[in-house]
Amino acid sequence: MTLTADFVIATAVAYVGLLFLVAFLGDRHTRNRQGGFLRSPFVYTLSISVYCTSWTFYGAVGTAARTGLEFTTIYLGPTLVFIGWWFILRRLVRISHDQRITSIADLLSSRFGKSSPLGVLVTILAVIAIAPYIALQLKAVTSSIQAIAGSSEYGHGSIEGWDEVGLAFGVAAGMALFTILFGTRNVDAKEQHHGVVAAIALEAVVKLTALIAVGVFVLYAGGGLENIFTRAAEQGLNIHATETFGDRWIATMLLAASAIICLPRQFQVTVVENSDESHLRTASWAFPAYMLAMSLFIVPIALYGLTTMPEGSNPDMFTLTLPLAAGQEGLALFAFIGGFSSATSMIILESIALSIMVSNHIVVPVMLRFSADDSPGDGLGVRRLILNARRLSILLILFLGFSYFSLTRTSDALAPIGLISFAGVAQFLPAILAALFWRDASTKAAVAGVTIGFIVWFWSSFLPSFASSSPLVAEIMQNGPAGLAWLRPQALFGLDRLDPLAHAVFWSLFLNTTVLIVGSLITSQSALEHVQAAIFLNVARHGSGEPNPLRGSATADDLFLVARRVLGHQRAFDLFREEARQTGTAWTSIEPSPNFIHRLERELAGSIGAASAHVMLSKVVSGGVISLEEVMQMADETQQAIEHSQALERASAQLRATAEKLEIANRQLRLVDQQKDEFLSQVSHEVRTPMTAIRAFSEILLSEDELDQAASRKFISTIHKESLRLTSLLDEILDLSALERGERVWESRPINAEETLDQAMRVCDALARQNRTRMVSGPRASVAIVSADADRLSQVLINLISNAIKYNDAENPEVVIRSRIDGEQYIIEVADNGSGIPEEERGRIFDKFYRGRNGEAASYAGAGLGLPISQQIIARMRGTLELVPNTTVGACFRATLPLAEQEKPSEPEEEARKPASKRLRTSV
Amino acid sequence: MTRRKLIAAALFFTLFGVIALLPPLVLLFRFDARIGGVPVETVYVFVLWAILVIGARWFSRVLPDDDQLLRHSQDREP
Repeated sequence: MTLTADFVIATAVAYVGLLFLVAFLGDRHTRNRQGGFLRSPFVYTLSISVYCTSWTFYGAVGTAARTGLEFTTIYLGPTLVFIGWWFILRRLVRISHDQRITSIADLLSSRFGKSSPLGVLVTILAVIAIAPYIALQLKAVTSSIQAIAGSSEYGHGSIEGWDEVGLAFGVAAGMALFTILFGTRNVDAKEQHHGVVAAIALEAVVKLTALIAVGVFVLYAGGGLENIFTRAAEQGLNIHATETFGDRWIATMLLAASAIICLPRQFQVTVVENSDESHLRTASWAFPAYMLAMSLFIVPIALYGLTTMPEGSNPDMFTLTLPLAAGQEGLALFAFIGGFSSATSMIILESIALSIMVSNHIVVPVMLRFSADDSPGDGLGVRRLILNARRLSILLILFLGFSYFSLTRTSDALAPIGLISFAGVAQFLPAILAALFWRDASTKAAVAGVTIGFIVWFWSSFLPSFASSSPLVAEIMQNGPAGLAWLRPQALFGLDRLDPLAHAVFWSLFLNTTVLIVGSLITSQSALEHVQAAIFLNVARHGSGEPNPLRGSATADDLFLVARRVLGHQRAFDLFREEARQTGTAWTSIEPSPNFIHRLERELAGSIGAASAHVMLSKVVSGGVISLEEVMQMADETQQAIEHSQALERASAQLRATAEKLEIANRQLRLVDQQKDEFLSQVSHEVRTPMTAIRAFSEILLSEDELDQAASRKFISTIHKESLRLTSLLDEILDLSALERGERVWESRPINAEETLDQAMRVCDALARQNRTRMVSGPRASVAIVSADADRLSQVLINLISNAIKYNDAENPEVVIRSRIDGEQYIIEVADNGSGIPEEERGRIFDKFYRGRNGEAASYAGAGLGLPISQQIIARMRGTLELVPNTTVGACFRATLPLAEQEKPSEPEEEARKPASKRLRTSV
Repeated sequence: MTRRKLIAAALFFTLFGVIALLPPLVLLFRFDARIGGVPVETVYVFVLWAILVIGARWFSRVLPDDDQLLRHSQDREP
């Protein structure tokens, strides 16, 4: 059997028939069983493999033959994007699920305030940018048919006499028909393509198996990997990548990485056709593995082809011509089907994706503008119009691809053509990344950035591909337009050191990004942009917590008419019935809630894109462009920001307060430390005085033998007196320190404080007589029950009274003791008629060892601990001891104690009779 | 590893892949040597590729399932 063009064309048609069957079964399968196998992550991964087109199948070998390892960058770029799926792809998929995004134009238009102009711009640019890519597929299929036709004498069969262009036209027409039949049967972009995806997955398997089969054949025929490389090296082929890792390497890797995100068909399969976010998880490693498997045999095939095929053979066709030359016609046919698979899957999906963009962003908006009347028609009108628009766009897209092919057919390599497309769609990347990550990117800036990027791309990458067919272009390439050398397409602004591709990529993306960033900084966003930006950025955090962009009044009838126009009667009916069921109202009296309008908008967006759906609903839902809810959301965000900053302020105020408290505590610590030092030095001083006396007198006693009895007795008595004083001083210090540390425990119980006061007065009576002081009992409370220790209270009162007696320097000294009950307080006052306490000493009178000037002078002075101890004791009884201010004559001390709660003055007798202790401390 | 660390590790892994595939690092392997007949830079690119695939498979299993997280958080904040 000899392979002829007729035979392979017939096989290809049969293969297409098989694909149809698969697509049909796939559709039925998903309808019946909710997806099942066809919605598995592996089918999803295989459908993503539509990335590997005939560029891979044929062109990669050609690239490897011409420039070595460079072909790997086309797959390494996507590999990197997929292993980093968590950061970009996951967000894209999530946003698109939430927003019912149908295409890359829809994504950008939706993010940038549902901007129709941006959607139109992206659509038109995508169609232009993809033309070379379609041309590449046409060229590959045409070349592969020609390769088979030329391989034998009668190979041409019925295409005898067809030139390349005619053949390509035939292929394009066939592909257009095929795609229309395949992809434009239904409208909802979300639901329609499971059959297509199934067929694409099958094609992915076929092309991988075919390439591996050829690879294994080459390894076998070439005698193993080592032999192939050795022979190539012997023939003088440069098998080392000496020039590979330069600017071109970086540029192609960047382009490939952006292409896997920005190519309309990749967006379609990766994002739009994704039915479950977790599928991305599998694809993250399985798709790179697929590309690795595709690439494994490329280099051996290229080298084996270069060493065995005659000079001048097209290296792009080695995958096909090597088996042919070896007489392996079965394998050659399989390889042809593999190449055909990779080309058809690309063309089908690319034109479906592009046609969705064209119909949603150009045809539907135009139709909406020109059908101002709200006549709903039969509901099928819009659907039919959309389908026809898509069919027309498919024809247009393939025609553009064919035109590009026929204008540039003299260039022979496949890969450079593809790279032109990659560089074109890469112009969407800055806007997409800004959409995902930058809240402040504005629509105007995005439009400007994409436009500038495209102009530069068109000038430096697209235009030069016509140089071979157009003398004018060749002239511009050489000398620049109108002799402006700095505008030469491949040496813009005089930059001629870079590889042309790297040059185009650098200038287009650099200017694109710069304009986007600077433009966003100097322009401001509209309200809707603001809201959409927030939704896009918050998607990872809040899921679908989006607002309803449309709010207002609309009747259910209006909405139903709109829905029926786009979705068809049945779908619209189902939607409204579901709403009626949920709200529990009758079908005719549905009050369209904001949620329902929002759901409707998303449903419509699934069919006609976000911008069109928005426009369409805006026509019936009255209310401004910006709704109350949007304002609320913006207010919410502002509120959140304010709250955040307030929280920060609070935190910093707390910090300040804490620091102040620390500062105060520190000051107090220092003060206490200082007081401790003073206390110690005072104690030493107080102890030293009696100790000195004791020492002096005991030394006299020891050294003077001739002391008379009376003198020594006097000395001994002095020593004794000083010892007593010392002991008493030490007792007081211990007592005070114990009181301060809270170590003195006594039992407080209800006592009649008046009795204790009487007792204290009796004790001091002798002292008063001794000093000729009159002790006067002033007004007294009859009974005062307080919770206290009688001994301790007595100690305090004796201290106060004896002080009043001792320090009274009046001529007719008098001490008045008063007591009264004031509310819940029992108050005792001890006043004298002496010279009082000077103003400047009042503040320190309760300090330890402070005796005042009078005290210092008095011979009977104590250690100056009586008052501090008394104050401590009263404080322990929850009372206060103070010096009454502003007394005209003498000093007046006031002790205030709370009355015991359960004891009321009305029934005091029993408590008053409780025995008070007789043990009184008189040493104070 | 905590969720945050895992995500950071995934980011680092991706960036490592980028750096390892770009000059100047890749230039380290551009010298005249062959492993089993295959030039060393070719072996490097493909082995690195395989490592990236294996690493991506590991990460695909261990990276947190945000979907569930999301559903929880949506339950909590209506």
